[in-house]
Amino acid sequence: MKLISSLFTIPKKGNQPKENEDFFYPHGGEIRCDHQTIAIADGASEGFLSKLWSRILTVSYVNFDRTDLDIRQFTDFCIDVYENQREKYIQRRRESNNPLKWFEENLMLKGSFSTLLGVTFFDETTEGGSWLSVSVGDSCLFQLRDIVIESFPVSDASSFGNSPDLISSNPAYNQELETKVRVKMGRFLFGDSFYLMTDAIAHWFMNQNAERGRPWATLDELLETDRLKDYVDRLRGEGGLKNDDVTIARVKLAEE
Amino acid sequence: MYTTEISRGNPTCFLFLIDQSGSMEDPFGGESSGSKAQAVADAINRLLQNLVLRCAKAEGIRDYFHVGVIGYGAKVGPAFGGDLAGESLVPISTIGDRPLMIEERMQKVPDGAGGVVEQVVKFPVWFEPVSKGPTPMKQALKKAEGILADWLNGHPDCFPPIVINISDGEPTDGDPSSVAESMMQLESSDGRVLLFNLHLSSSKAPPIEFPDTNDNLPDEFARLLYEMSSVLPEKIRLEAESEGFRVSDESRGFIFNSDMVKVIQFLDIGTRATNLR
Repeated sequence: MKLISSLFTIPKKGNQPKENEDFFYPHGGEIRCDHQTIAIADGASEGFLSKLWSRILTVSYVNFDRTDLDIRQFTDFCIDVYENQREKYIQRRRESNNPLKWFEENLMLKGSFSTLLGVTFFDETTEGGSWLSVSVGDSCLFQLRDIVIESFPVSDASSFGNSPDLISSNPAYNQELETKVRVKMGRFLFGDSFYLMTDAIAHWFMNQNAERGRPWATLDELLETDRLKDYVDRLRGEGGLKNDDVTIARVKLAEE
Repeated sequence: MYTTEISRGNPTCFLFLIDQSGSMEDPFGGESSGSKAQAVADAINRLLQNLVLRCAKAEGIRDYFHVGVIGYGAKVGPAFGGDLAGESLVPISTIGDRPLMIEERMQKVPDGAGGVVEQVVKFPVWFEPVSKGPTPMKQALKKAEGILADWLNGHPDCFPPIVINISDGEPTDGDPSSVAESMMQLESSDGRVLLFNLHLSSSKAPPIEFPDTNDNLPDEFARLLYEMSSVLPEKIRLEAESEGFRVSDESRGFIFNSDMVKVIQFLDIGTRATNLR
């Protein structure tokens, strides 16, 4: 199958690009394969090195490449990677005579927090195949075939809030992790599109869809004409979109 | 109302009024031992620490808040010491960078297996216990009104400033209600100034959080502070509800012999980690 992905990400208004704590992996482009995984994560504002944690979760999810993901084993692996990177960061700070301050030490004790949404596509027949998605939190997947035929894991716009389920880099805060994992399987036909989004834009997308607004068509046009940033700025200004980091990954599936 | 985003481009203001009068030398009736003055110092240090932590990232502290502390006792005025002495309002990053000292304290945290373990955490101290002189709460509120009026002139569209008064509720310069009411008439385009009261009493009566009636309050001082507390705005009330507090449309920003830190968690400055509850 041929998988064509496009990526759009911008930070919260008023923040620098380096302060954007969303992450998507792998980067956009066109690949041919018999199966492929992509993932998106939204690092929580509250936490230490949230961007690092969202990056580790997405890259590890894609590289794990497992259909029988054990969330505990996966998270333990990610925590090992995170702790290794965190120690290097602390070492660099120490060596540059800029050791961690009291508030960074206290934040570090709590750890980092992020949502995670991954999806794997399997090429199975001449018409299409199947997909498997795993989610913790409120990053969303939408499957499009003329209309939205799947919305996962959130199906009701009123479910969005400021306190989604999150995976922590601190094992002490992952006690109920298994209960927070959502898994969904489905079928796709070549020609279907999938959109993975972090919560603010997913909320907008869901509201527009509920009002029969064909938001995917709006996004497609804006993505292709490179005008999405202006549109997001406008929506934020009008109050139609919460001021938050925005990440959209669009995946189109086609026969090779 | 009370929906404006708090951001570095449009910060809001926190003003703490802390009772440093002689009566604060009396024992505290709540959970911790020691004097009411010690309870006030712990409360303000914890509130400031939590404000800093809500704004802190690995690259520094984001100035979502400007913060002032007015002490009232032997004198009334800005109460920060050290480099911040005399300052009415200070960006939260400056406060985070300049505590008077940093202690280490033990804190109970989850162990990941259903139990708790003790962990050493940094505990910055900006204020030490003070208990001297009368309780000029009215003057303190008047002072606060002036500072807030100046702030609102420069920030007319901010999330409304929040005043947290920490006291045993025994003013010596008359009934402060009318001054409090006048201060609470100040407003940004997003709503009026909010006044919350943290009543730290010698009474052994059980803690009370966000009551919607003065019926069960233990004494006249609690009733006075309750009456001059703002009704919780809807957004804050809903956050309180989701944290398990029993609140109603009439609940007020009043806490008796307990902890006000949660109020800081109720403010929306980004995604919160529910895992930390």
